[in-house]
Amino acid sequence: MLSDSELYEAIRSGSTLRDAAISQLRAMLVRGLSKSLTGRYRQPFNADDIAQEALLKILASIEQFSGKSKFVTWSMTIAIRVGIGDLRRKYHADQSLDSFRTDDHGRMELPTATILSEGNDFTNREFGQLLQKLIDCELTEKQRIVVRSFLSDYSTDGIAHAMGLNRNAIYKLLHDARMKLKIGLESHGYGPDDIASFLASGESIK
Amino acid sequence: MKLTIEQTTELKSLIRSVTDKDTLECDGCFDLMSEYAEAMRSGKQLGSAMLAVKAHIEQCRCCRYEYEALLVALEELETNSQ
Repeated sequence: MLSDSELYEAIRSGSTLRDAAISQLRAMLVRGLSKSLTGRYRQPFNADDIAQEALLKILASIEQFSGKSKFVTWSMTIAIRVGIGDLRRKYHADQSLDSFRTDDHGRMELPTATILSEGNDFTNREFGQLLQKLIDCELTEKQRIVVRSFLSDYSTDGIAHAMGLNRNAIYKLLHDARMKLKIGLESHGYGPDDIASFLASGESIK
Repeated sequence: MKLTIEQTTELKSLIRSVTDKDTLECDGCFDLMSEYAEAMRSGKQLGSAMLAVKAHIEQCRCCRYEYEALLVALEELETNSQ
């Protein structure tokens, strides 16, 4: 069994130990992936296939390894992303694309019960109406589509794929939308505690 | 699209928890995740770069999910090496 630094050197330098090192790393990836990803997203998963795909990525990008972590940890990080990416693609393939519709301009309606039910007191109704107004007026159409897709259980990866953007861009759209809503609520005097208590009664109305 | 009560509750949580302190994007977080995982597992004090990863993971559900999966995998490797 090679140590972490021996493993890295053997794979990078192409020494006579290279094949053995790759086999050792593959076995470690399979073990880690099997433990951590089995059952996630309720999708079938083949750790051997993912480890093989990850190994190709690791070998292709080995020069980017900075040595600030163990080589195995760095490799496992890549394998986890490959594996979760694969599971997310399968999971999203079965999901409705309804949240990506653009013909309704990304309309996102809060539940009527939340805003209008007599079970809610005036403050909650006022809060709900304000939040609805902020969603309608402050968010761009693209931001609304990202937010409602995210709330429909899409990952940022899945949204990026469906919208032809990258994951960083989706994260930024989502983050900026959240900030706009938070700032909008704060400018009307609603702080974090108000946001937490809002819906406290609405949640019981079904 | 009409949001369900559950989706509205999640929206509330997304609004409430967001901060302007997240300076990383997902790719930047990924580049530092192995280092961050080792720092967290060893209880090392976090420098500014690692604190940025922490802030991003707290804000980003997808990166958090990957980080948590990584910790499980690393734990498995450690258990098996003992």
